[in-house]
Amino acid sequence: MEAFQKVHPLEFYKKFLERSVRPDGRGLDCFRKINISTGSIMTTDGSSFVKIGNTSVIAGVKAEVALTPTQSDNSISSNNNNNNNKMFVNVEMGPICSNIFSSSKPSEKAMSLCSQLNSLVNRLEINDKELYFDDQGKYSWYLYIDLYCLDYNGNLMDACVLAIMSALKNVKLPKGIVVESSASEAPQLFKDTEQPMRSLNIGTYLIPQTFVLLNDYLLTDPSLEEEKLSSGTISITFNDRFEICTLLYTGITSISEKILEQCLEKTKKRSTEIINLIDNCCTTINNSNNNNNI
Amino acid sequence: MSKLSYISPEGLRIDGRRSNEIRRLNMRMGVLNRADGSSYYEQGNTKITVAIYGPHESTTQKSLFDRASIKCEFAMSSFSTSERKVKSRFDKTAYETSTLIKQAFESTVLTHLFPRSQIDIYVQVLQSDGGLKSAAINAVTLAMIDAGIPMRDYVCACSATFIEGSALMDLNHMEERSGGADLLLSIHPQLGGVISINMESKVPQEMFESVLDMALAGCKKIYYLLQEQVKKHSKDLMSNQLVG
Repeated sequence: MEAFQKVHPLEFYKKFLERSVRPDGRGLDCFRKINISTGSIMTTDGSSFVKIGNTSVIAGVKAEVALTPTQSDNSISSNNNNNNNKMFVNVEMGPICSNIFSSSKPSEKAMSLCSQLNSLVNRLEINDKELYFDDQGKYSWYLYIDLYCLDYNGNLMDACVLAIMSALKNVKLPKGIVVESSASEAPQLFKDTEQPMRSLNIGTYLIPQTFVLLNDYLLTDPSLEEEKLSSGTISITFNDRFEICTLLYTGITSISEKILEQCLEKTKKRSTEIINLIDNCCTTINNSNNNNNI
Repeated sequence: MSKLSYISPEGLRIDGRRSNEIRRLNMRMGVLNRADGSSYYEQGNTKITVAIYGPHESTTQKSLFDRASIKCEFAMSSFSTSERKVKSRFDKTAYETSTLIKQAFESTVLTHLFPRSQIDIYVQVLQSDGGLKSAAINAVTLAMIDAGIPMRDYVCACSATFIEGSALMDLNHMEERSGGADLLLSIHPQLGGVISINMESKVPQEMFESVLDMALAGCKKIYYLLQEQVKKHSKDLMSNQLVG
């Protein structure tokens, strides 16, 4: 049987898809088991570890302080203007997750995922005031979100989006005090340790879902083999008001509107499940032995 | 500003340990699915995950005709240290640690059984609190065993130093920075040989011997715990096979 899978992978899959099931026993619309655990890395300001089936991604958020850029009246502001970004996402897919990636040259997949996530993270509707370091907002927090893929078994986009969401929800920032010293010296910045750390108020949730087209069948949450055999990939991200934040289709065949509508509907249906998942992982009390999910 | 005392008058260190106690170990084998062997290793607050691919066909021209070549890469996550450090391409300390691990395992793995093949070791540091090199070596030992690659013996490593008149084993970040004799020892615990010994400091000979003894004792303690973990993991695997 394994020989058949290696020699004729597409035929092997067809035999399962005809009965509306996949080789690992899932239905065509079923997700793999998602595990999210937050707060394991103590050197970060917020961290999370997401596992979709065997695909594992770890996210760490580090916050740094810098001057808030002043809004000049002449600047053209648009949604695609990245000058006022306060959050930066970096994705690393090294050889640890799969031996097809090299460590020196970032793969195309990592770079494209990185740019998609960077634009997506601005859809989280985090008010600028949330990221102010001091009360007046002269200085701001800049969040660097680093994602490391530890195990690559398909559907990295969803894992990364969930990791970013849960890591940001786990972020705890201290209150800041700015002490102005003499005119020649730069003002000194301190963390106010008397006040409790505050969490970020994130305006919305991101609900990701990735589909793959294999032989005219639409599969949700593709595993690595399914991704390799597919003729097209559709990635959708909604926010909790069902507005489309990301809609990506790449592939060698064209898709009809009907398939796109099906995908949008299926993503909407899972929204409450995903929202509950993210909420549950952040409200559980994290003790030091938090790495059982790894 | 008062001087930080590494050892309190009662003989306790900054984190409450005695001079001859190692940090708490938390280990898992077989944590990553795609790799042939993997492990997750925690030593105190230092958290490392290792993936091993191999032995497989050599991807570079540097294949050796009579044995396997071992390639190692050591990477620190940007969020692993207290200050965010972006991984630069030519990080000397990362290369040094990679070479250390590569040499340790070239002497231990039975490479003559796999001519013209390659074994890749990838170490990813998730959180760093001192003792990185020794933790990495221990983590790679577990991952090698998980991958089923035959070895002569375990490789156990431990660090030790001499601060304020006493030798300490298994240093955390603050103790490493103290400027004492930071010794890294890695041994074959059962065969009884030293694989590598690194020290970058100036010490008198008597002090050196006590530090060396302390490191040796640390390695033996770690070996005992690694062995327990391997037995436990094997038992779990066997019971899964019998049931399923």
